[in-house]
Amino acid sequence: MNREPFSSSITTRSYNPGDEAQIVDFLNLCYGEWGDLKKWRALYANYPNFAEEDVFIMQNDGEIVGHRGLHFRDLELKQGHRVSTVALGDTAIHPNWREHGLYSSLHQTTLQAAKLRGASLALTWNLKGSTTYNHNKRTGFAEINYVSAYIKILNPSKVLRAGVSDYLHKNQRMSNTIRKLQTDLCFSIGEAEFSVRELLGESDQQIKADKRIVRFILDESSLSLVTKFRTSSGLERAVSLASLLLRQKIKVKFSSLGAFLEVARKGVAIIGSL
Amino acid sequence: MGLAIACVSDEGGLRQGNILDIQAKDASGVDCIIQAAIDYFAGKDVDMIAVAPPAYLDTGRIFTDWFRFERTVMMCKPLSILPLLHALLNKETIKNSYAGKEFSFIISSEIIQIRVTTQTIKATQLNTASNNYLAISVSMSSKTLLEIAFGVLNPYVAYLTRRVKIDGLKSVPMILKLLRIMKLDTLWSIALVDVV
Repeated sequence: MNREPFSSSITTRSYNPGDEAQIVDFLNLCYGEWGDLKKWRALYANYPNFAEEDVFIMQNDGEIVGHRGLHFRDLELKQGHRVSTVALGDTAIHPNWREHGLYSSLHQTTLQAAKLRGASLALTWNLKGSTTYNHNKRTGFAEINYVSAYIKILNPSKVLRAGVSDYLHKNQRMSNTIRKLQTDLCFSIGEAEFSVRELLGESDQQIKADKRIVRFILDESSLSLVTKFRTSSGLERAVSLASLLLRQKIKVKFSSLGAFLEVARKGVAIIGSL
Repeated sequence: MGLAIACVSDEGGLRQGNILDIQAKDASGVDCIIQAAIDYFAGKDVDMIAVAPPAYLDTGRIFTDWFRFERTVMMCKPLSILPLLHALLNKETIKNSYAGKEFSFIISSEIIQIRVTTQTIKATQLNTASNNYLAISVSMSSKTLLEIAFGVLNPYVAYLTRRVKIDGLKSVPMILKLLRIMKLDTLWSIALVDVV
């Protein structure tokens, strides 16, 4: 079902069978490591009350540029009364299409559709301080429940990798700054090491050949600050990093003079994109 | 004696162990059940364990070597006021205490008239241009309504800070009591394992 066009090139429509693979690729592009087809089917196509109209796709010339899933549930109150609710999930806008108003359009379209389908309440879970949280506050959402979660990390390197990947995929400015570097950034914790460039899906053989690498060697105790990174302000992130460096919880090693000079020269851009 | 409900999920490339609920007779029971959950997850090859502990737990003592994660916030926006307000007010206590009463709720730009009998709560949405208000009118934003309903905002504080406006000074105690009764007394949330 086609809906009214957002602009001359972008349309919003419902899910059609056969879209799954493209949707999953899109969500992995936006979130880093969102998951696989099996996960998408479990959340949507195979879910008991799923309808094709529960998934909204924005397209530009056949390419998916926006996605949101709606989950309709009834809130059961005492004495058998029910309130129909809709939970908003897996909202994503293509990195090349952010800050073009697509999120606002998708948000409005999906809330309107949910209302027409009988939902009285829209629910969403957000990290406090995130972009989506701030947008929702501006558009009339109330904070109604807080959950403080505790985590115990059993595999620090994998958790760090997932956290950095998530952060880069949500921070377009930082990703673009790193892509322009002629130096690779590597994180290591314990015995494990990973390259930021590979997380972004890029591998530059020339950089590898030139061995222009900056290694950030993290102590496991630094992970507590890293877990708060995403919802901190730019200033808080910069201060956290400086604190970790001063306390030697993070050590920085440059493979070559060239790597050091490039990072020193572009350090302001890197810090500014935090 | 204790109980923990645990599950494993895959989130963002990580295998995550989730402790969904913890119930125990005493502090030593809590310690034992959490250790049992950790031992269970060790056999499931998880990368991290997450728990949103219930409010009664002494988290400062139990989770000393855990990281406290960022605060996740549940946010809510009403899409349609009438069914929501009707559901919130449809309680036996309100029918018994307010039988024969009539109110106008002005929630943002929507006007809902409420008529209470011992058997029913009748809610009718009025045209916004209508000024056929019933004797007692209560005004607030939809955000304030939700905050009161979910217990985030005390209706007395809301009235004193002018987030709730009530016509007729004599009606104020009655309406504020009504708003208190209206509060949802069912604790609910979307489980952490449900990716929404």
